[in-house]
Amino acid sequence: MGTLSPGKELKQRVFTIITLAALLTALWGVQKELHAYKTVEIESLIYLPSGKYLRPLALGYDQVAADILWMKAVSYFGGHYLTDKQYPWLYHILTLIIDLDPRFDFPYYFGGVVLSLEASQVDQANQILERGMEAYPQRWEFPFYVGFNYFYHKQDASKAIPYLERASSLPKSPPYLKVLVAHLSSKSGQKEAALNFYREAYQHTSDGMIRQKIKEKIDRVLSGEEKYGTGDTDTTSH
Amino acid sequence: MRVLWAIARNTFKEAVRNKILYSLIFFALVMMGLSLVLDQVTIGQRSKIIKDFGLASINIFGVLIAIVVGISLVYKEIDKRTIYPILAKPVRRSQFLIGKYFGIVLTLAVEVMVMSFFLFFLLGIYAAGSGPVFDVGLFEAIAFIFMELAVVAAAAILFSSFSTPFLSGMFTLAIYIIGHLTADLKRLGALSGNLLLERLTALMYYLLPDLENFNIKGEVVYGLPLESGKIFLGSLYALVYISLLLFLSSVIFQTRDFK
Repeated sequence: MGTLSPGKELKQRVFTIITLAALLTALWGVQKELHAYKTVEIESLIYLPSGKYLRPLALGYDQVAADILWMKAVSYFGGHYLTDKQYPWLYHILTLIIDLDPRFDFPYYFGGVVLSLEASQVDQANQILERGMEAYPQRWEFPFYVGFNYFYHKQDASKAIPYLERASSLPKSPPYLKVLVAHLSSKSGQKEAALNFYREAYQHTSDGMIRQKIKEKIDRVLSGEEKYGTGDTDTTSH
Repeated sequence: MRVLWAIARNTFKEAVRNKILYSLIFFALVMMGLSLVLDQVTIGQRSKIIKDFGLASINIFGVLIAIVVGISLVYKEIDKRTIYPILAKPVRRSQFLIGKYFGIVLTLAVEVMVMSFFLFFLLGIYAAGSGPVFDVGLFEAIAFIFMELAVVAAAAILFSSFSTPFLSGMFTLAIYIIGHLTADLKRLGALSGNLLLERLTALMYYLLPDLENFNIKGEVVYGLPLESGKIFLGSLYALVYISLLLFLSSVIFQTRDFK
């Protein structure tokens, strides 16, 4: 529009810039106010039905739907980890994801470890891991974590041993697992075996929060404050 | 104002001529078929399922119409050179664009009204007795869907003011998808621990349309209370965002050279 006089053109430019700035500021202000109403948004996931029914509705985009839900799950976990540390819907969201996309392996690890260590939902963690064992029968990590959960949280070596035995027989499992199973099977070597077990788990975990939890557990077992892996005690200190 | 109304009315007539409203028949068939199937297979909560699917269908059909109509109208006027006689009259380019936008909004309003009427009709037939058919929340949810459609249509107008229909369609669809994920992206950015990513996702959150602001379907279907602040701010958000998009479209359209 080169027909405008220089003065008029300048005026128009100033008007454009001021209007844009005003609209952007208003947008930022309204969105900031609206953000306060966002807290319940993620909990709307509870309305989602079981993943088995969700799958046909995903119209062939099962993996994409699972990926979006995975982002929601991480965001849900992170939001509550930083605030109330309560995760009542985490298990539900994770089961939706693995129903939609059973080959998506990370949710099994995440659920198996985080649900037990952080959310104190050991049974649900093991259910997720059992699903992982079905989807990936050759992965030693899933039975290992089920065994770990029984041993660490439930203090039940008798239930942990079959899973650890299974883990030790699978490809790529670390050699120490066989020794560990042998020690756990004999009552006399249990304290030492428990400590070795926790130390190995500590060495093989990269997540800072989980490492800290295991470290605390080692300290408690060393100080005699906590029992370890006797089949008849079923007291959980978490 | 008279000019805007004349362009809007013509745009609406053109949409009708292009048989856009025929999409309502598909909506009716989908909803009717669904309700018939549900009648056979569900036990309880029939009204909830009809409401869920009804609102989702209004939303999806509306978005498709907003995109299809929004991206092609301005382009067609330029392509068929019908824009010249219009702009030769005392009509400013911004008036032309805003008039076109109001025409699309009018088309969407008629679509949404007819679809809503059909939804209430089905609720009356299939779900009578399992809850109130005319609840205020449902009207609010539909009004919010309409606001979302108006924002999507404004985005389509913005892209069509400088791009081809195909690209405009792609951009608008991308805006629609991202618009439902910005809040999650912001949350993930904040959790990443990377300051740059955190700032970037926060900027995207404030700059890109947050279409989740208009999603109250879950609350409405479950009869959860709706805060008046959210209703007010949501409406204000739509108004500000539409103004911003139309203003940008006008600025871009003003500088365009038609050949």
